[in-house]
Amino acid sequence: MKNKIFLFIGILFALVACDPSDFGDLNVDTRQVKEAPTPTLLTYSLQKMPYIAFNIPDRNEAGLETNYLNFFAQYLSEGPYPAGSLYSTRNLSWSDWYTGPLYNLQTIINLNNEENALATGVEYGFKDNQLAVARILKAYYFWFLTDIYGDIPYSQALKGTEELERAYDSQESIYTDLFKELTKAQAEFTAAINSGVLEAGENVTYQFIGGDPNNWNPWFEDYNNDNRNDYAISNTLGDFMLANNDPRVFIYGENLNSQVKTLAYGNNQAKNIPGAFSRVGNTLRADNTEAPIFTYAQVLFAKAEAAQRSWSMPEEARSTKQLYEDAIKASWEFWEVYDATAYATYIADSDIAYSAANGLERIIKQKWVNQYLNGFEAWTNWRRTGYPTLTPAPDATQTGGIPRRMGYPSAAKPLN
Amino acid sequence: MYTATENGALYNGTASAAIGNTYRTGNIRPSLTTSWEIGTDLRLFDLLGLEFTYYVDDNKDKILTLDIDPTTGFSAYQINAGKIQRKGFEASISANPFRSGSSGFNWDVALNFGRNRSMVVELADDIQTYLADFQRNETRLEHRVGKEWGMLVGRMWNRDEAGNVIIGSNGIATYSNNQEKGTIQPDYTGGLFNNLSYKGFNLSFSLDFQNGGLFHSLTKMYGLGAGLHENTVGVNDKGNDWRDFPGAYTLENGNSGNGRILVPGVFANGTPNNRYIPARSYFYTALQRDNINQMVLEKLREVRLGYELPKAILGRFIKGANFGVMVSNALLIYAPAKEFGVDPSELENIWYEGGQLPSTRTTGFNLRVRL
Repeated sequence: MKNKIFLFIGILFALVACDPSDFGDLNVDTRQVKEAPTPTLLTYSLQKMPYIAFNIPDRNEAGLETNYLNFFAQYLSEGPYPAGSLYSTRNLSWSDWYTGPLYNLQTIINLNNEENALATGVEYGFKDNQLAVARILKAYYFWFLTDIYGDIPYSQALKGTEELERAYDSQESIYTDLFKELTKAQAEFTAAINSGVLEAGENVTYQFIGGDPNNWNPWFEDYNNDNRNDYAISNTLGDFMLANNDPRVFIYGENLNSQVKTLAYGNNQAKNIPGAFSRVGNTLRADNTEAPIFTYAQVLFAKAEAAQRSWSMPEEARSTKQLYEDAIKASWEFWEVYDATAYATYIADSDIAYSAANGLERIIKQKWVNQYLNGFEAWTNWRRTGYPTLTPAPDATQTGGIPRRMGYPSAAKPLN
Repeated sequence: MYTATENGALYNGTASAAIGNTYRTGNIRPSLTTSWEIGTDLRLFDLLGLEFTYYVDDNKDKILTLDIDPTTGFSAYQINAGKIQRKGFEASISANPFRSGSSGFNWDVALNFGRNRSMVVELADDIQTYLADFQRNETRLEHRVGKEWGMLVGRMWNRDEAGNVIIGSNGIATYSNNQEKGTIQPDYTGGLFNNLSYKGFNLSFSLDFQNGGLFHSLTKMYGLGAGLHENTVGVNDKGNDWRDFPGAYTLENGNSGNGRILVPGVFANGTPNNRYIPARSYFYTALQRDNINQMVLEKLREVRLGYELPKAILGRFIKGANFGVMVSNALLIYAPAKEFGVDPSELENIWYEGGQLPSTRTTGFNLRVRL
């Protein structure tokens, strides 16, 4: 018996004898990368870009969902669950934008300024270039947020818990600072641009990766993986395009027996979509589609507007009319429907043809037609110019017409 | 700073990572609870017993993952902070009004009763709200400084000074966010336990009851919003099916038809609402803004009827055997939430149910054998 007790004590000591001084840091999750070098932070920030210019009903990343902008711009109508198109999205969280890509970009800037090893590695690129890229992207995200919400935390934002109660900056001061940041970044960047990063007439797109659930087109996810059939091309956009024999409509909307069937916008009546109304077109919801971020057509439309407003532009000899028609041509080319005869008929049509008197209306309306699924910019253009002329949803749940800005997140007040 | 990084999704072979959303200082200490209680336990022979306890607990320096404004770059902040005070009492009475041994009628009864109140005394500097959880339609569970713990916060219809609901010109009630609906803590909870026996038979059953406290009900939201609940069928104040067409509307003459629903209330200028809205706008749009329910309930938790088998049939090796029928989760006697098929004592969560399946009643037989 006595021997057994000694044996037991012996085992006990043996068990305790392993070094108890280091249990490891329980704050560190060993399944995650410990430290993230700047290129990985940049990749992450780039992966969130399409949510701005290619508005998507994302079911996996609800915090970045931007499909409501397609409703505000009246690109899409809702079938079985009318809600967003009746303006029920009133106070949307901005959490994932600030804590995701924006804080990542801020970290790239911080690490570079601190000369941290996570930024200075030879393979991570030159400091100037890293700073310039991070500044431009950060400006891009902040531009999106201030356009949607108006005054937002900017100068005191992204500082961790240093500042728990942040002031909101006015939209005007944010814009002024964004221009300053872009100018700074451009100076750092000139060399790279001179060596030919982007050619004239090129399109900036985001390539979704087919077959990779983490990187495929969220519209593909919505239709093919989640089997949703909630949205169809609206009558506001679709009927206008059909009436003018615009071939892009067959890219924008699903072809049902070679026809595009549009769904009435802003109606509270639940409707079943499959087979009856055209969903988002097949190319646009392919898993490996290329989402337009900034296209040559957009550049030409912006130039046409500048010319229309008699702003001076260096090295631009084309007339406003010519810029407008070239923009439409670039759009047809981008959407891969260009045909010289059809195009000539189209621009001569009385609904389309440019005249100085109706210039702004025509330019912005065609820009709207071009930027399908970029509800963000189309809605912003509508707010700034009043074009295209849009009628608020007949069954809107809010009485103030089409929303002119997004309400602050409902948690913003209790948390600030 | 001990901020974790999170792996992002590899893009075509390129690594992707994000800075984690929880800000950690790395200086977390154990939290401390101090409590005192006073109680009494009185017994009168074997007939009557009374227990009573009053307690106050102070929970300090809790390890909180506070929600912070995400414009900081982080959505959560892990710190030691806060003081939450719990106080309340528990009482129980037990009695044996009848006791006549194995030959006659016996009755044991016990009643428990308790009330607990938790108050949020303080959180951290600059932080007045601890966002504990959130649900659909901007409904949140918050712990607010100076308020009762577990405040249900969310959308509520706007009302004027006289208490009338303010209706938009489209006939739909207007609402505001961040409104305090009330705490999730019940006013009181309790139970009643009974054990009756007569000769070989014994019957025991227990009742639960509670009053007050709120929960968020998604079953109610789905049931009304999707038109599945029978409450969505009915007639309006004119006696017409509210699914009928209301006709064209003008402010002067109201609707030309007779169908649909009128939300009682006034327009912003104080004139009574006269605009009938489609049933869907009412049940799906307007009511989605208010889906709270009461924790109130009375419930027959468990019943067991047993019979002690006569010794004569058991033989020499078995000292005793009892055969019984038991039913658990027997009957929800009363609960306002019962209308929507929800049993408030079976919630999946302390403050909401997310469209859960109805609770089930279990019936079983058992045989207890003593050797």
